[in-house]
Amino acid sequence: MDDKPRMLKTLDMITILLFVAATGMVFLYAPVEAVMGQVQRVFYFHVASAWVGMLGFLVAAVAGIGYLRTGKRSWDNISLASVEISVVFLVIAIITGSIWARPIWNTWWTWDPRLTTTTIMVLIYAAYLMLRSGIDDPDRRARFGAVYAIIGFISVPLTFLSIRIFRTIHPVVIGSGDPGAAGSFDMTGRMLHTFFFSLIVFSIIFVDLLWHRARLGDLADKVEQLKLKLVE
Amino acid sequence: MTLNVIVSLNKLVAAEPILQTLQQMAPDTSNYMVAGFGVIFGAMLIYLISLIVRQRKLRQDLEMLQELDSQLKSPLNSASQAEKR
Repeated sequence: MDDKPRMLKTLDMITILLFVAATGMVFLYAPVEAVMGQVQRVFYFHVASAWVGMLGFLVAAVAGIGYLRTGKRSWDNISLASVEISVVFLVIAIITGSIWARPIWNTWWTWDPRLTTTTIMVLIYAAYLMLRSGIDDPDRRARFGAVYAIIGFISVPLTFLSIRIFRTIHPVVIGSGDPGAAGSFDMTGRMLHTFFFSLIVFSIIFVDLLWHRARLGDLADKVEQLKLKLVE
Repeated sequence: MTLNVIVSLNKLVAAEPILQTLQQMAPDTSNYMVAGFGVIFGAMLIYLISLIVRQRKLRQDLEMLQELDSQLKSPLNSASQAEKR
């Protein structure tokens, strides 16, 4: 594999600096929430992780359309990379949400519409990763991946809207939520700055990781093609 | 109008000690915060390490396969294959 492009190196540096800045803002700039206390600080990265998860599934679906239209393997690599990163970030979101819920809801887990739809969404994409690895033919695998990523994306708006459609105890950050939601709070100016900065930083982390993971996919393709050539 | 502003300011001044009391009364949830950030940083680190390990392994595989390919292409090997035929 070629050495890392200069732009990717620069992006790596920027990403690290921004992540340190976001962490600094969470701990030093954002105030302590009066009712929930320190655990509320998890909220900034919890929401940002969930955002990256959903963004990744959108990118995977778009890349799937790109592959079906052009047949280029690079689209398939982007789709696979997006799904893998998204699953990692959604698992982070689920676990941190559970940790937040323990002192606020007095339970680690409840089958609330948001929690349930998020779990289903993660399982759908975990199945994507497992099923893909079971297909040997690269073209068939890519075609399957593209169709699956497009159909699987249906779960994303359903998850996003679940707290706005159904009765739920999960707080709504943007817009109005269920009055029965537990753990809602009004964000002060500093909280809002930290929240939006975290969202931007996590989006940049996603782009950086996507680039790295897609390059890894290209390398895996090279190895696979060479193996097939040698077998012939 | 002026009276309203004064009333609002008075309310804010009165709310200050209440807010301070609320913050003092807030439960200590620091342990959960530490656990939450432990998960975030830990999971991200593990994923980064997995990317590095996979990349190294694939590079090794590629080098080995390229070497094998060049050996198969070498003239000596071609001659021995021709003899076999």
